[in-house]
Amino acid sequence: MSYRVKFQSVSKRYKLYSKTSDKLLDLFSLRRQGTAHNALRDVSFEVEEGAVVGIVGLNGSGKSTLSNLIAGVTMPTEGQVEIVGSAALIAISSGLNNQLTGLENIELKGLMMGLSKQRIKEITPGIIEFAELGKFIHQPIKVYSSGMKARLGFAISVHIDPDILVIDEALSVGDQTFTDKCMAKVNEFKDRGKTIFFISHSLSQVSKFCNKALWIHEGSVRQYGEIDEVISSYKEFLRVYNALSDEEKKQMRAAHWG
Amino acid sequence: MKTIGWLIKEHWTNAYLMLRLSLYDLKTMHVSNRLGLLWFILTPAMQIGIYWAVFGLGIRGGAPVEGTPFIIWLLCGLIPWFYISGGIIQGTRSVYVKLPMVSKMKFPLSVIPTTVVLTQLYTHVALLLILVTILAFTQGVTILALTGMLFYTILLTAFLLALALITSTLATLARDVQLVVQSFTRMAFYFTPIMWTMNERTPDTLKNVMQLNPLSYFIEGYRESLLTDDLSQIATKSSLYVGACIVVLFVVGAWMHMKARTSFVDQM
Repeated sequence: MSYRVKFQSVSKRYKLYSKTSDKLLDLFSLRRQGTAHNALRDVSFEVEEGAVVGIVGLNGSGKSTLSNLIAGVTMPTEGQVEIVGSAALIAISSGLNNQLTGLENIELKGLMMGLSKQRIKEITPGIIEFAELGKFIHQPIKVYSSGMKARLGFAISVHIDPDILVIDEALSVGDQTFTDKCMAKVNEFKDRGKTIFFISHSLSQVSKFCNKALWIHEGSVRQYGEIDEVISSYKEFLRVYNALSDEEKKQMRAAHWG
Repeated sequence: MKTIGWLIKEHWTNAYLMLRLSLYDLKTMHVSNRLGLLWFILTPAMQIGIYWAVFGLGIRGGAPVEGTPFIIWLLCGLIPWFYISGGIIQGTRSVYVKLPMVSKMKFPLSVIPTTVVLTQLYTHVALLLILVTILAFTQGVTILALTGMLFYTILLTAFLLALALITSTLATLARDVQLVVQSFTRMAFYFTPIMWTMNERTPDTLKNVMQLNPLSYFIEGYRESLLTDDLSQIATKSSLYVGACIVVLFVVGAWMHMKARTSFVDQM
């Protein structure tokens, strides 16, 4: 079967330094400085075209690292990430410059995300319409309300029209109307058969929206498959986990970080 | 070698991006000021005024330098210096200042220092145009002088780009580097013949040390070509030395940037 995203025993290690000077030393010396933290360990999975994958897991399990790897924001330490087509992370506030107007920001963020001049011209009207900025489009975005800024950021991200969309808790910033509007837009993507990764702590939202799920636990894939199976076993895990005493939770985490 | 090819390719494919980013940068810097872009001229003009008053009128009592009116002589050294100091200091800051903005996207990070140096180049070109206009009315300008000016501007830009690649990487890993670079730049102002000249009274040791200071080469070059139409420095060993400096800085910078680049985003 053809795949859109393929992870082959991907590991991601972050280096933790105790001193800033170690960072500089690490640049020059052959001996490795600092201690390593394994954010992801030997992760392998394949996602085919048109799949909508919910990524679930506890805080600190490696969900954000995984989404950064899919979007190509960072590189794996080991293993291979294969992406067929373009991937983009919906990051609402990044790439916006407070001093510039809405219109200028559309061009700037579009360029920064790798669009051509021509393409930006084509998508600008759609963005303005979606963001509902009205006369504010010619104002510097520092005068925008946070909702307006979020709408603009989201609008630019989705109108870039990537083949693979990664949504990392992005929709939890605005009010219900904003979330609904964004979900409608994302559903449109789904209908067009695009591959979507959806990261959320709201399991009901994930079950409703996705058709597959990837459960990450302590940096490894615990389960990957049809949405209902994964969500029900994750729910079961959460029930057990939440019943644990703080001491036991701590022990469980120590086993990983140690 | 592969790193360098990669870096050049990244610049080539993102040329339009760099152009737009640097123009927006220019705009952002002064968009909230009432006088806007005029500040790009006003800030250096005020500095020039002070140096003129203190060194030209105060210390020298208004005497010309080697037959050139002091203010003209000053402008020919100070305008390149503004580009040097701006390019070094802003180039060093570039990556860590812009990083939060690009952290969530796949962004060609190596274009950031280049974009920032490019922004400084615009100001430099504007100031040079004013300088050439002044010269045209006072000393006269020849094609030879303009050729020299162009040559040194291009070489200086290459030098600043290569240096920014190194310092921006180091400053992103450790902010202290910014402070070190700033103090060195301030010292370099006095250690480069900007407010003084090398003549027969200068001790030979100092002259020899100055041969090793690439900044001295640029300042002398601008002055010689603009004031005396003298391009002879281009044909000396100094050009070879400065060219070698640029190549070494660029190779080291490319290597450092590529090695540290993944950790830039990871450390956020």
